[in-house]
Amino acid sequence: MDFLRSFFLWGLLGIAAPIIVHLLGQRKRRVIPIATLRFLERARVKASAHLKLRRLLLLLARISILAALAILYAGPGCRTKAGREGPTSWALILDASPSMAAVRGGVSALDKAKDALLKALDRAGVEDKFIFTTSLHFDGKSHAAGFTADVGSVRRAAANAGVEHGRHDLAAALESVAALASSGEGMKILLATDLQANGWQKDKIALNDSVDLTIIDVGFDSPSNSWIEKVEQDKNGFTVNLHSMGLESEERKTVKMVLGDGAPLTAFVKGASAAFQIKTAVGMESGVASVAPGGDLALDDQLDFIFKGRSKLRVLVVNGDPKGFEIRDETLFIRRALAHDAGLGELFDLSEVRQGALTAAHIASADVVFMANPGAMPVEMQSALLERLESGAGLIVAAGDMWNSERDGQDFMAQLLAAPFRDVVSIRGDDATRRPFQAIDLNSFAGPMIELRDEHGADFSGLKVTKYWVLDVRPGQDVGVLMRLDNGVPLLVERTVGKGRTMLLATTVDRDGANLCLQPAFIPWLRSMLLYSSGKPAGLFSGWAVAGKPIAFPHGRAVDVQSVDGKITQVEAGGSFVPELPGIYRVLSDGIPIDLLAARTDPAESDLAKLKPGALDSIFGEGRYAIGSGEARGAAATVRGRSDVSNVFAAILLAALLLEAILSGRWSSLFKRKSFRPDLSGPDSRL
Amino acid sequence: MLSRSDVLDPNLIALLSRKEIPGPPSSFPLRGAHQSSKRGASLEFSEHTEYSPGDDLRSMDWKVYAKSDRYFVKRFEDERQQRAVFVVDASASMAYGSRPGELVDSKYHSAAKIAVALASCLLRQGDSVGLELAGGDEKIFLPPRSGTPQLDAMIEILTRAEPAGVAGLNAVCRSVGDRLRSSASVFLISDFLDEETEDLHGIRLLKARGLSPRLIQLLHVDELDLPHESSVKYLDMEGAGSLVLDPLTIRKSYAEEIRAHVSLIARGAELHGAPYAFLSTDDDPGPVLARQVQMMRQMGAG
Repeated sequence: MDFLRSFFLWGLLGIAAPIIVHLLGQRKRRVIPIATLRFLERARVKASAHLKLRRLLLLLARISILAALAILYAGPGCRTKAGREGPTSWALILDASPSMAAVRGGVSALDKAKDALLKALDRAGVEDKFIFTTSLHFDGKSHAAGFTADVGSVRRAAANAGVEHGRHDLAAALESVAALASSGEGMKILLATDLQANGWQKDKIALNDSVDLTIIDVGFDSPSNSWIEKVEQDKNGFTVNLHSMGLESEERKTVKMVLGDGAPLTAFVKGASAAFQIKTAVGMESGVASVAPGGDLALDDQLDFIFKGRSKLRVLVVNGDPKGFEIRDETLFIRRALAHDAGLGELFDLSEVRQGALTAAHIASADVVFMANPGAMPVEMQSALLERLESGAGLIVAAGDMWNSERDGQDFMAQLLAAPFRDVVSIRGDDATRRPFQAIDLNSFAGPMIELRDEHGADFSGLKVTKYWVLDVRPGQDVGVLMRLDNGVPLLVERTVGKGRTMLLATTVDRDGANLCLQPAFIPWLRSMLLYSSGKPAGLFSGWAVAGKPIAFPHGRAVDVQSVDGKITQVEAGGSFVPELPGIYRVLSDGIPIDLLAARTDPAESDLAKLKPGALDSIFGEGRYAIGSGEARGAAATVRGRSDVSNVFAAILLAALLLEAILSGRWSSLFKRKSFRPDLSGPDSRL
Repeated sequence: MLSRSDVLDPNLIALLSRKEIPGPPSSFPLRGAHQSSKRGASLEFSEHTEYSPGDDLRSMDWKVYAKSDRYFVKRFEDERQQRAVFVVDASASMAYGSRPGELVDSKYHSAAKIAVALASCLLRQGDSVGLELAGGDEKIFLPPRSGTPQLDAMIEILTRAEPAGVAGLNAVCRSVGDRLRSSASVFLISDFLDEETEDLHGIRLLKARGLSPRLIQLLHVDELDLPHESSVKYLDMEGAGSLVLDPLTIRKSYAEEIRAHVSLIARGAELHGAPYAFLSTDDDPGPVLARQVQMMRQMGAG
């Protein structure tokens, strides 16, 4: 037998007290006068035969009370019958995937799993070793330290474990833990899981013979769940798509939608989707959709999403070409793209002005100023532009023949341009040794151009640049290069000025220097440029990131990510970020929000369907595991452990208390005295 | 010491007053079984009362008239009137049950209350009562007399007495028998725990003298059950002895012994035709005494 708190065994010294009292008999006595001693003497003689035995039993009872109390406090236990071969190594694996957050009867599967593992720890021997891990992708390296004998720390880790978002792989966790088993020593593995079919990535898991596996099934019978699969935005509004398992498909559900800080909108649906008619416009905002009843798992009842906002961006197109509106007009294609009835008309409010007629009022009322082929500009106009830029507006400048490096020099619009221009290159078609144009390097796309590369890269393949300006871009100038020609020359650059952003296209936006305006990608390119320069979220992310899993950041520069809990994480250019929780994350550049990222619970966790019967046999092999429902007791025969025998000593204590009370006559005061009447029958030999 | 109010229980007196306490069997068979409250000619003068129309003129005391110029008639003890003597145990053991220095709630207190109640009823029905204390700090014998002043005298003696010494019931019974000579009831109110009382010799003595003993045994409820816990040193209240015992270990045996003794006394009383009543100090004496009265009737005492 062993004890959890052996210090309390010192209390056994207390049993000496009744022994000493019994032997010495030196107790303080009461003195009671009595009418006659005659009957006491007769009674003593009569009871003498039993007196010694009674006193002895009373002493034993009192000793037993004190001893049982001391042992109870010490936490007695003994090894169980199954296996007394020495210390055991225990590996406790907790399935901490989001599906374990499913609740039935007020108790989650995770709580059941933790409870079962903690009860198993209670049965462990004092010399056993332990390791605890969850199903979150286990690389084995984090447990290089191996097992610990500190059962207290393992208990705390198990008790404090919660649902973890990320990639869960039960097979990897099992194999990694099993690999830690020392040869010849053996290991007991307890795996507490809901046996969700999606949690098993491998068809076969081989465990060596020294490993005893017990699976504790904490999943629910006939699980049911309803969740939001996605939210799609169209020109009329939103469609919320639902998915269910284990529920009647025609069950009525309530779907709510909240956009930004707006009032919730409610729809009652039967079936798979709900539609909301809402007018939308440019700008990115976030919303949240929810469904009720949501079934066993609540984590997926709500979905944060990003959508295009409702306010239009004011775009001022400044035409630097004084020749008038001709077919080769600088801004012809821009005008067409941004026309009210064109594709971008819903996002942008277009106004146009010739550079000669440009006023400060025009500038003040614009969110983005697009200057096509600007020429020399009065200082006050430059100042107005600079002021507007610094206050958060965007400026896009497309080069053109109005630029004259000899005339204007390096200082031409120096504060407004993203980079000064140095020279101009015109590619003539008469040189047979080279192509008559420069193509674009699709791999050089950065920032907002990345999205275009992924979706429309093929449409840029026809881009031909016949004239471009060489820009003076030097390292350390904080100028971002978003596009390059295939000769490495920067074609599109950008720079932050105050709260705003200025971008420079080193070729013309009309057909004079390139056929950009004729490319199918021109309109999405223009849209990205306008949004990006204005500081509105670029919407570079499509769909949702999965909480706990990394997502690559396409912004081409180092950015900060503000999490749902306010924490700021820096992400290097081209790096990746792991959203720890579902929700909306803000992407910031120099403190300015430039994008939004929506993260969600892994949709694979929403289908709670359990493994089919027999699936475990095919994964592990028949007879290679034991399985219990809800706790480890079902496999107790193969689980060596320690039994708590406190109940035995509690029974001894109670019995001793009862015996002491009976022998000492303490009961008598509890009962009402029966009234006595003399017995008139019987012999009267003394008369 | 007890006070008058301690020994005068109006409720008990009222209960017993509803019942006529029969006297001893009459030695004049022609007169039949007794119970009469009428005064008549007898050898024993009782008292003077003022003349009322209808009184027998032959009872007129002319000497008193000559002296006082007022008419008084003599009253005599009727030989059909009952005489009763109360022998109240005032030994040291009768002090058991009270707090040190007090007598309230002791066996003596109960005995005194019973004696006063019964005496009051007897006096009310015209009988005469007397008192003798068995034990106590002084020897007192109050001859039987009738009338309210007799009750006051009894109360005075009972409240003044302090239980002490031994009862010596056998000697007291002999003494009472010598004094009374003719038929009378002798109420023995005691715990009957003395060894000498086990053979009820005193009862036989009284019966031999033509007297009618009536036994009322009083015990404290603790004396029946010995409720003490842990080791106790018991002191003999009427002797110098002591005994150290663990009452828990002998409780059962003791209870058997004491109950056997009480039953022995009861059977002995029955055998001698003496009405017997047992009371513990937490019993209501009214019903018990009423049963004893009934027993006295059944035994032909009235």
